[in-house]
Amino acid sequence: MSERIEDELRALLQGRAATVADVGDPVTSVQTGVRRAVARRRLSVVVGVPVAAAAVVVGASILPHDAPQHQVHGGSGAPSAGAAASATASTSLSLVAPAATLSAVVTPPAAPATSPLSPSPTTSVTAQTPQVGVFRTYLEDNPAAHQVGVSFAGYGGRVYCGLQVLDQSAHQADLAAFCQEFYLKGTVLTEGSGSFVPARLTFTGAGAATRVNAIAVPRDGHPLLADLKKLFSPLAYGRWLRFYDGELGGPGVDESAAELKARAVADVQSGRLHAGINKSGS
Amino acid sequence: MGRVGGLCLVTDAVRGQGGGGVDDDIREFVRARHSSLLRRAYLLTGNREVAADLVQDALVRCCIAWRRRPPDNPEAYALKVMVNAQISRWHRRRTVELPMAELPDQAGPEAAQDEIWAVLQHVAPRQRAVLVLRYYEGMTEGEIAEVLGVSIGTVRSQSAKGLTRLRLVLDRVNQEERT
Repeated sequence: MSERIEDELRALLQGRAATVADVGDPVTSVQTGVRRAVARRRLSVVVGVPVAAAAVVVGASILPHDAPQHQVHGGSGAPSAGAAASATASTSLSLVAPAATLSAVVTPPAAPATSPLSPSPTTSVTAQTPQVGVFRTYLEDNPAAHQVGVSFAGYGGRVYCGLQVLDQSAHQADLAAFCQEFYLKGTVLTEGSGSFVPARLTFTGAGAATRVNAIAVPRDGHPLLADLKKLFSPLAYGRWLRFYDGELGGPGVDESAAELKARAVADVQSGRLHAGINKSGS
Repeated sequence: MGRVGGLCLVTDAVRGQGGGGVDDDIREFVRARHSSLLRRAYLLTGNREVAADLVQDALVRCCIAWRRRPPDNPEAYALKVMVNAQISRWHRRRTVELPMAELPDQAGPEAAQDEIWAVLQHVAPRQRAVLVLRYYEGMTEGEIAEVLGVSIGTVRSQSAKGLTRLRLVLDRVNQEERT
């Protein structure tokens, strides 16, 4: 009987393995993977924190998710980093880094001359405009952004995002978002999940009256680049690739890890950030 | 900064110091062994897409390690990375449930194998890895223990538990055949 199950198992494994067919050029796939690994490492240097889960997109689809209409006021999601950083932690917060230490934002390389998405060249450095504030608030607070994994709060904390608008038209913005969750573990402000995700926002309106209607992200893993090519404008795709190509000058984000943390500190003081789900059980 | 170009981002400067040969070795290894690794990854994960990701991750790590020092046995290294990454991935999983294959209506040899495969999707990853390494790879208990970084006793117990679970399924299918 024992031999029977072992023989069955051997036959099963051989048979199932034989059904697997290799597709595509594995060399290209590995090369892409190496680039991404190198880029993740570079990102952790640029923004100053380890990226716990680059592109945490669980089951996310390239198709835009139906997002609830979300009206926000510009700037509410992007408080002055300097002001937040200068706030002193009167409680026993222990992980507050000086905002100035990690504030490097890499300027992206010069953009190609034209893009189908943007008839007129747009600035490649994300400016702190009211509209960017709307985008940021959407990424940080809207359930749709949480659903697709852009701002994933695995510890039940609050997510803070730095972003880079790679390309923008009247109703769509292609951006790279670095989002970091912070939560309180006892009285200690602690980093939770982190992600670095490309996303397309579809919106109406302008300035502070911008209303984001939908978010779309590529799938993670090997379909990422193919999805991204379909999703992003050629200009945005090129800028994203330059980041992963291992060249200097890829897109950084507009808020450093320390600035995100400074905002978290301010939220602790104002009572917006509470204790998270302590996964360690302590 | 020169543009990076080799498979593992071996720079032109490194190539000039003999890095080109290293890159060719890696490229040849990836081309030659990718299919084999993909088949093993599929058996470990039960899902083709996850398997492709697992192989890619393993080869990327292999590549990066190769830049530091070429592994003595790159295939064994990649297999070890895959097995342990799959175990870690399972522990980190969130609410991902892989659909089970539809069970056949009629009993028979295929039905038994389908049922065993379905059960194999749900055994703990270390148990599954032990079974795959033992009955697909044909590794000894000592070799499996080395890959998994556990004792031989653990390999034996995991193997026994996994086989017991599968045997119960097989017995049930045989029972259904008789009735």
